Formats: sequence, structure tokens, C-alpha cells
Amino acid sequence: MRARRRIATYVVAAIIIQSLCCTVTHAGRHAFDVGEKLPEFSGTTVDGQTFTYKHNQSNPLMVVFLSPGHERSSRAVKDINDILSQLTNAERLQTVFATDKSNGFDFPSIQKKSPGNVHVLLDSEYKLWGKFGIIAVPTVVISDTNDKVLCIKAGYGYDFTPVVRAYLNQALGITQKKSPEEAGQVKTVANDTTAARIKRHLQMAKMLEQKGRLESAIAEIQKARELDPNSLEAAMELGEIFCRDGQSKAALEITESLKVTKRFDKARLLMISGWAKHQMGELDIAEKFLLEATKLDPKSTRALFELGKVYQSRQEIDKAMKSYRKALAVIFNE
Amino acid sequence: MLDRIYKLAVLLICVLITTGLAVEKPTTQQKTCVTEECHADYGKKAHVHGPVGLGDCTSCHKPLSHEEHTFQFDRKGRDLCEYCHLEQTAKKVVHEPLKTGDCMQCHDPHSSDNKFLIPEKTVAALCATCHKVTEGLAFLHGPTAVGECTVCHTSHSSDHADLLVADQAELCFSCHAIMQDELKEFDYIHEPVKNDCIGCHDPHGAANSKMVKNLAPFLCYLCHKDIQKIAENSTYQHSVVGDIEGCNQCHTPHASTVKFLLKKDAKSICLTCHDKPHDLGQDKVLPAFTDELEGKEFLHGPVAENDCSGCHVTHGSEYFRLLAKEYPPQFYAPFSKENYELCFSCHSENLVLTKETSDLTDFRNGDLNLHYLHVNKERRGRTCRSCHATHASNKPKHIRESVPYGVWSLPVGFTKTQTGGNCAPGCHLPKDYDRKDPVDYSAWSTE
Repeated sequence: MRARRRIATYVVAAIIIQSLCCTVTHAGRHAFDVGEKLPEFSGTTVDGQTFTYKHNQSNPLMVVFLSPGHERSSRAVKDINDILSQLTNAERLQTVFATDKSNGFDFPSIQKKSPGNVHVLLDSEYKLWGKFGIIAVPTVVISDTNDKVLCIKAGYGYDFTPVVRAYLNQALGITQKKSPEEAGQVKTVANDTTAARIKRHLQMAKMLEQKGRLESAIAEIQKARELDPNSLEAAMELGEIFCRDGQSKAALEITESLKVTKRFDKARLLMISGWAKHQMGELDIAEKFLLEATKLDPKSTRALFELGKVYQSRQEIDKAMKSYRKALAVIFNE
Repeated sequence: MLDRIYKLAVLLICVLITTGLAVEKPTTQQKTCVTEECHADYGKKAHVHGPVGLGDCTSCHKPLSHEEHTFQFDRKGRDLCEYCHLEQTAKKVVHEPLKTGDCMQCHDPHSSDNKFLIPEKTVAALCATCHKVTEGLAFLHGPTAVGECTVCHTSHSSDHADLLVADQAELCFSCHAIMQDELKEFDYIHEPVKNDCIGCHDPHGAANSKMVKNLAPFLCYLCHKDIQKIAENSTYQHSVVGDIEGCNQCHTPHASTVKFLLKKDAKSICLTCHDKPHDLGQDKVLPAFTDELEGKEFLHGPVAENDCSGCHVTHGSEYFRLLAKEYPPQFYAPFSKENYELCFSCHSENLVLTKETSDLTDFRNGDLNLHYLHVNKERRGRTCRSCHATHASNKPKHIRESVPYGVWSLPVGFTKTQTGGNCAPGCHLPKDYDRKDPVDYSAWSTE
């Protein structure tokens, strides 16, 4: 009982002392942070040469800390090899593999691809590890042409390759679609989105149309419209196919319900309206629409062709031939 | 008797009427066979075979005897049709009826109300007379659903297996164009997606809306037998892996921007379930991972990198908590390298094998490696968990606030300084360490 009390007293005392003395220092995990200058260093390579990294050389640098026998290190080496082999403009990049044991990796094959730029430092006493504050492998450190640290990537996670590649691109000044900060964000194929499903229905409609199955094609486009009643593309496709099927009234209903702002959308809308009006025998208004359509989109072969048909219906053969020829010139890229 | 006479009379009348109405077969050469009197139906349907329309029956039928009105085909087998319809069988794979010259299995040689002179209203109905591919399927593939088999298949011959109109992957992408475009953006693509969509999907339809041949994990196990073995035979199993569609909780089946076809970053995936405590049975509860991180400033490396797979394996393990490798679960353990395989997957084993170092760790008094001092003991070596919180803490290097010691929670009392730190744990008297100006403990016992 007495012993327990004594222990309890020690524990309470320890807690009090601890709470009085405790001053937490919020140090980073590494010896430097992103944005700071990478420290200069030098070391001996596995083949006995000295490698020295000095500031103001205007070369980006990647230092990869590895340990043979570590599965994650091996995977990292393989991925880095792949990244380096796909990298453009890589001749400016200096790559340093810092390993604590001399064998275990196939560095020669990497060096073969970029001789002179890939250096393997043997750091069996962990001098460089200590200088950089490295505690886990693999760790990749990338600095830019101004010697500033762009990235410290510790471990070999799911995003190792995209992140390392993105920062190397940044270091080499290679333009990329995503910022390096976004490189680790996960994106998957979105084939079940509404947009993707609409596209599939429209594509199938086109195939059915080519096979002359207009009824089935119309049904497919209507499925697309059900998915997104505001889909301009689906509406236009439906208008066109209605014309092709001789359903001019239905085509006009579609065009009258649409509001478009873009030039080529306007042109397509006018083309469909003109086509439908021609089918309805309203040749003047059809001509007006089709002329406007060809003005907005001089490469609309359908508009040129339908315009030709309007002229042909009026027995204006010269004008018709001229319009047909224009359509053919567009088709044959003349 | 009268009844018999009556029956004979009726029969006689019938015979006379039939004979009277019947058209007599011509016994001389005719210009055409399709007239109002003979074979009239052939010309009246919506679609008429060319020679029939022209009344040129001799294109196919050669008269044997005009007197007896007998004919034979002008050519034998498929040559009869191929004489005009050239090269229908020129490609590598030929439709079976065509091989045997039985074109009439699918086409009416004279006329039909249907396009292509087929006897059924739709191509699908025609194909279904032999190919019962949609029977009992709840979800049909687009072309199948609209009865347009020829979107994917050609009816006569093809250079592609199964009479496909194009190479399989190319064919699928002709409609699934968005996916093809999207795939260009991805580094990690599931192998079948590149050229074997039907490895997973039934192109006609299935009992499920994704039209996969079977649900995960069974479908996945067809190829990923190694994972199946781990999932089913491991001592510690991850329950989600065996669940129906469990694989899809973490993986995307087509393509991802990251390794292992993950759907999200690893931590977010894990937190889909581990944001709440889980009952492990036998009065054991796995705490919510989120609780362990909440308000914590210093995270263990893999946690900071959102990579739970740094320490845990996801399909099944031989080590508790689905750890990837050996890791001592207790406070004290006699030191052996093998006990710490998990930690040594990232950290150098020299961290606890080297007594003196000037660079390998900051936890040293002068050059004396205090990791070595704590851990590398034949008896009562402190395990990593004695001082470090596994996931996160509010102390630098994710040092624990306190450690469970039996029923007690002993404070660790760690403070970091610029060149060292001090510990005031329940385990021993408060001690300082300094890398530059080592504290002299020569007067203390080694334990």
C-alpha cells in the first residue's frame, strides 16, 4: 500500500515537473524546409570519385536516399529509372543516389541512360543523411536551378511516381497540365458520368445513322436528351437526324426551343432550320437561313449542300452547282 | 348408305372446284415467273431481291424441263449467291451459315418486308434464332438493347474473332470514346482496359448494371489469385476484401492517376470505414483512426503522407492490426532485428544496431545513440511503441504523452531542445541529452 502511494506520488510529481518544464519546439522533420536553399554537400561515389554540390550552378538536383534490402527503396529506384527515361530536357538534371550500402541496386543501368548525370554516393556513416535530417528511406529531395528545395518526398506511397515526376518537371521548367501540388491528387476514369453516357448514346446514334437505322438512332439521341435535357449537342444531333428522316416539323421544334450564343452553334442551328424549311417547301426562308449558316460557318458542308438543293428546287442550276462545288471543296480540303 | 353417297358427292364437288380454280403450270419457256397468276407474292413485299424485281428468275434458277416446269439452281452452295454478292466470305472468320452455303437461313432469296431480305423484323430477332445471348439478362448493352447486333458484329465475314467489325478494344472505344480520351491522361491503367474489355464485361449484358461477368471479388480473383490467397488464408483478414463489391471500395476498375488503381488517396480510403470504432469481437474495439489524429500536431511519416500502406497491408496479414511485417505489440521485448521488421522497412536498422553515431539520429547524447540504448537490450528492451505514438501525437517525433504500463498511464514528459532534449518519464528519473554538449551520466547505473 505504502509502495503504491509512493509510486503514485512520483507519478504526480513527474506530471507536475513535466508540465512546468515542457516547452515544445515545432521543428520540421528534416534539416530544411521546402523553399529553403538545399545545403551544399560533397561525398564519395561508389567508384571512388568525389561528387560536390555547390550553389549557383543553375542545375536542378534530385537526391534520393535509399537502403539496399528495403523493398520500398527498390521500388523507388525502379520508378525513378522509369521517370528519368521518360524525362525530356533531363541532361541538366543532376541525380544523386545516397545509399548506406554499396550493392543492392542496379545503378549502372540507370547511369547508362544518363551518363555523367547520375551519381551514386556511398553514405555508410549517414553523414549526408544527418546533414539533410533523413530518417526514413526512400526519401527524395528535389531542388531547382536556384538551389531552392521544391520537394521532400518521404516514403514510397501510392503517389510516389506522379509527385516525383511533377516536381522534376517543375525543376526542369517543363510545362505541365497540373501543378506539382496537385500531382498527388487521385483522379479516376469518369466513364459513368452523365457526360460520358450522353457521349456514348450520341456515338451509337451516329453508327446507327450510318447503317440507315434512323429510328434507332433517334431513340439513342432521345436517351441522351433524357439524361441531360439541356445538352446542346444532343439537341442539335436530334434536329439534324430529324431532318435526315424527313421529320422537318420535329426538327424545327427543336431549333426553336434552343438558345445559342456561340458562332458555330448558331451556324448549325440555322443549317438545321434551313434544311427543315426546304423540306417543308419554304424555299425563301430556307435560303435565308442557309446563307446565314454558311456565312457563320463557311465550312459547313451540310449547309452548302442544302443550299444547293434549295437552288436546284428553284431550277437555279448555276447557283446550285456553285454551292455543291463549294461543299465538295470543303470535303476535299481544296 | 345415303350418308356415304352424300360424302362422295361432296368430295367430287371439291375435286371439281379445285381443278377448275388451279392455275395450270406453264409447259413452255416464260419471260418471267412473277406474274399476277404465278409467284405474285414475290414482287409485292417491301424489299425485293434484285433479279426478282427485274423478273430475271434465271439468274438463280436454271430450267431443267419447260414441259415439266422443273428447275435447278444455276450454281451450287454459296456460289449461287456469291456469283453476284462477291467477297462475302473473303475474310478470316466466316459466319457459319455462310460457310455451309446456307444463306437462306438468314435471307429470303425472293423478297421480304424487312430490310436485307431477312425473315425477322429486326436483326436482333434474326440473330436470336440461333444466338440466345440475352436470355435472362437484366441489363443489356446498348446495341443489344436496341437490337442492333451489327453495330459490333458483321454478318458475313470478318478479320476479327467473333465476327467483330473491328479489333475488340478499338470497337469498344468507338462508342466509349470518352473513356479512350480520358485514358490518355492516366499512368495507371488496368491491364484488361487496354485491349480486353470483355475480360471483365459481358458485351451483351449481365445481371448487373455494370455488365460485369461476375461481381467483385469473384471477378477480380479470376486474375488476382495471389490476392485471393492472401484474403482467404491470412491469419488477420480485412473484412471488406471478402465483401461483395469490396474491391471497389478502394480500387477503381479502369484507371487511376496513382498506383494500385486507388480511388482516392490511401488515407481517405481507409477513413471511409475507420472514421468510427470497429467492434472486433471478444470485447475488443478498434478505435476510430480519426480520433487518434484529431488535434495532433506531429504525425508519423506515412500518416503525414496519407499512406496507411506504409505500415498496413490491405488484403490480409499474418501480423496483428494488418501490419505489413513484424512489430512488437508490447512495451518490453528482448531485442532482435526480426522483431522490428516493420520499422526497418523505412528506418535503417543501424538506428538500433549502432551504439555510437554522429549523424544517424538526433536522439543521442553526444555520439551515444539513445535509440540503441533504449531498444537494443537482451532483456526488457523498450519497443518503439514505448516512446512513439504510432500514428500521431502532440510531441515532436510523435513522442507519446504517456504510455500504458499495466493499468497506469505513465507520462513520458519529453521536451525537445535545439541540440537535444529531456525526458521525465515514469520509467526512469528525468534525464537530459545533448548532442553538442553531452550530459555526463558516468555516475548513473547503465539501466
